[in-house]
Amino acid sequence: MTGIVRRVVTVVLVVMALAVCVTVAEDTRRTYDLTAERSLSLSEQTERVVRAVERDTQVIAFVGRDDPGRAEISSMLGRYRRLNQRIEVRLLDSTESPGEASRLGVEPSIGGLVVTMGDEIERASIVSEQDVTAALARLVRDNQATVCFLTGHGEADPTLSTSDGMASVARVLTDNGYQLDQLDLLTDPQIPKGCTGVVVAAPRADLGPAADVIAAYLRDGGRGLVLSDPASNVDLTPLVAPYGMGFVKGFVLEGDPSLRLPGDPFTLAVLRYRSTSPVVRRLPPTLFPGAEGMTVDERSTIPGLSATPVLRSSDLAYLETEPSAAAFDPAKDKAGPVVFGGAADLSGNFGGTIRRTRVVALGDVDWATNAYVGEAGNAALFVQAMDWLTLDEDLVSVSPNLPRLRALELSDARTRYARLLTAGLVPMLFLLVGALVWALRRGR
Amino acid sequence: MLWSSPIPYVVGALFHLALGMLFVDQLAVRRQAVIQPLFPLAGFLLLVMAPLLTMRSIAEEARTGTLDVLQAAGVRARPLVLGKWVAAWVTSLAVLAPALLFVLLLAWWGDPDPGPMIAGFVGLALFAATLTGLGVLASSLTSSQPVAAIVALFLALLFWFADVADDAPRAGSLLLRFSLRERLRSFASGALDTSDVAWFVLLVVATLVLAAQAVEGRKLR
Repeated sequence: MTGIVRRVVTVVLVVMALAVCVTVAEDTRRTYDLTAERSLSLSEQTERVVRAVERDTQVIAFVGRDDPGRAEISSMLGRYRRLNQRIEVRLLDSTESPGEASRLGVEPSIGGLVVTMGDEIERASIVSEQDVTAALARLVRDNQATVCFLTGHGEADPTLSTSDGMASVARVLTDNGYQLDQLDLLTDPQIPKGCTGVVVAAPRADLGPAADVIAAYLRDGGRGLVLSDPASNVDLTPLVAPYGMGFVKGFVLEGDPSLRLPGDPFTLAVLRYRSTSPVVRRLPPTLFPGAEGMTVDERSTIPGLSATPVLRSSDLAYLETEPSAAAFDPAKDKAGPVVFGGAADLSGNFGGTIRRTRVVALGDVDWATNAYVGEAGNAALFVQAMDWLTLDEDLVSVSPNLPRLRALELSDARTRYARLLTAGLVPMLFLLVGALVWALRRGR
Repeated sequence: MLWSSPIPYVVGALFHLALGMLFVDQLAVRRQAVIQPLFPLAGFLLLVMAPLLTMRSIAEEARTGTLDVLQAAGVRARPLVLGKWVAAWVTSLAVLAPALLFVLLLAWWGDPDPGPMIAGFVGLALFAATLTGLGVLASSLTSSQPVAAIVALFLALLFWFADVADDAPRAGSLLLRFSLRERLRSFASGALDTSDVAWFVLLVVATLVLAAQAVEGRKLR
């Protein structure tokens, strides 16, 4: 009896010791990433942001239980948690927790990401390192960014709910942690210090003195989103010219049927982005109902300037300078691809002061109006553009350590060879040696 | 004695037949020089293979009465269990070894990342150690080989699929920690995590201690 009791006690002790040891091992774990590109580690930019989190934060990812990426997302979120214990991570299936998803503003059928810190909340449609880090960065930045919309010249209005208003964009920006303000330079010809970025949304009347105020603001390290439009006669080129960009009046006509709305060559669809700019990185397709052309000088000799086209049409498109006679005229029109969006960053030391100006310019405003901002990735484009413009660091340009593609030269003959070797020869050898051993033992 | 029975040869042949077919199919579809898909496949096949390799280890000794002879001769339970486990583990590693051919093929036809290969095979070796530990434990509980194999398979599947029952919302929650599949996946991705290594080692130690207790119990009966 004593022996049985001793064994039961031993078993209980072994199980308890196992539980304790596993807990200790979990709490003191060290992970060594052996991959060549450190693809199992968070990027340095992410680590910097995560270490800056000083308040309790919840990262909630809505990912389907059967989603093939769920395990990777779980591992990735675990890395955030391990780096900073203030970050709690939760993985939910929105179809199993539709109420929780709706409460947090996530469409249950789509899923997505929610990051909360106190009363503040950030959302993203995709659960990736870039999105989690950008959401955290927005929450931990010192001051809430304020986006100031220029008014008074017939610009698209962020308070209007009509189809040509921008109330939807205003709501999206608020959801993403931005404060909004209106900028009336007619009554007060200076840009308040609180404006983190300025939006000039296709004015219909000449800017007059306001143009100089905005130009000076940008020159002093301001951030601006400048949207022109073919329907407006105002030339906004003077605002963006110091940053290697310009607007070209006319309409872009798309010749590729897969990159326009059916029967409407003026409404451009951008399915893929050739630019690596954070403004369009991993952006879903976007739709532009009527865009004018742009010039973006990628080889500008302006010191400290980096300008890059972010939106362009296909080779089959062209810029029609006389829309009433929509036929390509080599003398007047510009052959595709036509650029209609650009991003510029001008950094430099100006008299001992480091200034960094950022400008995003697009040849269309309709994409951001209530009528179209809900289409495809248009809202995401606006948020990514504002993120790039207003965040102190290149946080929206977080580049996860992705493994590189390693091509395998596998012809049909090689496949057959590999199958024959591994699924034929090796098993055969096992059986052969087994038979040999059996024969030898029988012979004894 | 294990290699004098047909079990490791037949098990090895079936293991590599299945692994070769499945992994080459994976390569043909992916066209990428990645070893990662090999480990879940090999892990699952090992799950079935290990109980067959370990079912005889102690159960057969008990059935034929040689266990009593050994114990009467003063052989202690712990070294006996340890010896049985080492033999089973080394056998399972020997059966696994030809899977290294895939490394050669990938290196020949592509430029694979060596990190996940090293981590994956280390993980597979630790996984085999754990499964053989569970197998020896199961074999110590009965004198019937089929029962030992079924119990070992049941225990292995329980640990393999532990994460399936995990509906806790927090990533890294309790049941996820017990999942052998999750632990192996971590290695296969190219990570050497001390908690994963500790989990496998601790599970081996625990199963061997419990198996030794079971063998001691037989002596008392």
